Amino acid sequence: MSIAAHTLIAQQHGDAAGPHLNGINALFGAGSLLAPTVHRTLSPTLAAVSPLASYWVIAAAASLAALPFLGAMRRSAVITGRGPSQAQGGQPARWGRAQLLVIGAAMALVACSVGAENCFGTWLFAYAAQAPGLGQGCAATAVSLFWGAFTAGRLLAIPASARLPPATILLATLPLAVLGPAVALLAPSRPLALFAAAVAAGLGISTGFANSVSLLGRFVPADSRVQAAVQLAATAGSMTFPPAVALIAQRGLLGMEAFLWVAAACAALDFLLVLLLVRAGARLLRGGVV
Amino acid sequence: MLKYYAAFLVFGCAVNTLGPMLPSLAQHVGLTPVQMAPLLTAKGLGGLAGSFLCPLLPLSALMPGGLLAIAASFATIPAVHSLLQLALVYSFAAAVYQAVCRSLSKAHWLRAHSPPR
Repeated sequence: MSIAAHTLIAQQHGDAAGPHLNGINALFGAGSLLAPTVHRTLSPTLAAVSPLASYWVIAAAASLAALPFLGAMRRSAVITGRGPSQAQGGQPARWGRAQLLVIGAAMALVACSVGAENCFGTWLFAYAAQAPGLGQGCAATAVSLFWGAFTAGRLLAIPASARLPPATILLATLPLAVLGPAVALLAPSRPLALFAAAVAAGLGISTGFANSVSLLGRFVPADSRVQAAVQLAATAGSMTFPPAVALIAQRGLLGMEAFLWVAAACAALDFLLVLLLVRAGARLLRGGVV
Repeated sequence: MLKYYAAFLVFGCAVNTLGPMLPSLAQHVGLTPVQMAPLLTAKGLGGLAGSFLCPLLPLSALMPGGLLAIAASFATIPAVHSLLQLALVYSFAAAVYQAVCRSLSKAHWLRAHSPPR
């Protein structure tokens, strides 16, 4: 949906699309901030109807948001073309070992980045809601702070990416994604520590996905196979790390704070993977394979 | 442009509501939050299936279709009472979301690389 909207806006506004694209991303962040607030505000009011009635409110909002698009629907081209690799004619070139190393490192980078983001997004509320000294109000604030910092980080990365290479942005921000969980682990049950951890983690994680893809694009052409590989890695990250937190907690190895350890480990691994990717990419370019 | 701003406000709220709702969802189906791991895996699997079973959709139907699919799947959630049903709903929503993303990504590439007319 995100890509759909970005493409349609870019088509409609051409060179003037920039402010609108920044605007819709900011609104996505505002929606993320609203999610815990909607739940906290509506749950007591609608509890008599259903404890999950806030889903109906979001469903109604989605239906209303669809109406203007339904009005603007018109016949448009059905996608019938071939994929990017095939459209270039002939069989796509096979990846060599150096390219496989670069793409593999980038896939691991994307998987860990998305994994850290999903661990925080999924488990922060549940962890804080049941932690002694915190509670549901504190949990909702922490989640809002996390997504607020995440959105701010993405907005700040836009001008930064015009001046700095993606590897620099990643290496500068990823330590925050390790520091945040560390603060929360060192000072459990302290609301201020949790809030600081949420802000640091949100800022640190926010640059991961976009800059990982951008970094990969410096070394290999972003054809359909590379896009599919990145998407596969992102899905794998979102599919494995959050359930892994539940598995660790179920086994009794750690409590629900396992998500902080997993997120910090993902960010630390990402830092090393950026260094590996830069090194492998430079070797690939020197070899003239691409 | 206002419709895009409104749509993205809803996307943000819908996409990131699972975390805050997880304890309530777990209570609803009689489990603890950490026992909800299959829901997270099913959501990921749905997304994976959607991205690979990318349908051939008309561009103008993507935004309203995706929003209405999210609305329909979310509206059913309070009525479901098992982890399996929840997993099916969330994996369906994720599959639709990813299918839309892949369709547009492909359309965008074809448009950018088509010869000038």
